[in-house]
Amino acid sequence: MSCNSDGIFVLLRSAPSQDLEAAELALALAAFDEPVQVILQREGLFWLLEQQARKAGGKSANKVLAAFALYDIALFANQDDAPLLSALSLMAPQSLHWLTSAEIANKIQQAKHCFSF
Amino acid sequence: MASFTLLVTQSPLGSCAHLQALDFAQAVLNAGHQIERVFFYQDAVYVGLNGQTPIQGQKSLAAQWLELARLHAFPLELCIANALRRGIVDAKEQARYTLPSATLVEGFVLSGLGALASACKESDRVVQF
Repeated sequence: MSCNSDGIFVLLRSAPSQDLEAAELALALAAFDEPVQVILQREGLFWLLEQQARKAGGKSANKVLAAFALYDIALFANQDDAPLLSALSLMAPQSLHWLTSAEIANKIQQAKHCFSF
Repeated sequence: MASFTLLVTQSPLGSCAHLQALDFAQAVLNAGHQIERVFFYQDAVYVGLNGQTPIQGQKSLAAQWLELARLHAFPLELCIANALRRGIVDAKEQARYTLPSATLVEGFVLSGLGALASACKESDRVVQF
């Protein structure tokens, strides 16, 4: 992946799995003082869907995403995917920033490391 | 010389990601660079589950990783949280959770995400498979 100096990018392109391990990785890296930014793309927008916890006692994906702000994790989405958000009747959280595909490509190029789930 | 960490996230059974990662690691080493560590996350941790028997005549992925790691002295680390969820435990975790047996292939180690955070700081490249 590309290597400059603008922190770590985590691309969430799949709907959340049972154990939300992709988000755990982002949170853990941020907890270790790595600057982390997360981009929701395509089915990754399903992370915003209010849903029951996947496991007994487990947190829902959107609650885990809500914790990102506490760890200074910036949250972005591709504005091309905005129609999907509308179709799902989802409200974008205040912490979510919309980017164009070109802006996302630029951010990935600037990233020190980039992971995709 | 550049230093690399490999992050493997795909299942050893459901994709060719491990073979690609092994080929990539070999190419990196052949080019004179260094592998600092290989970190297995999500379903990739299944590579460290013992008792798997490859098809006759084939070499297991675990054996291929172990051979490369032994020759070039880098650690093979499984995310401990992901491994525990999937029933992959060393003797220490077996005792802690009173599980029937240790299931980790000898030569792999259980490690926290802090190891990956360190890798992100220290390695020139972290490449995901």
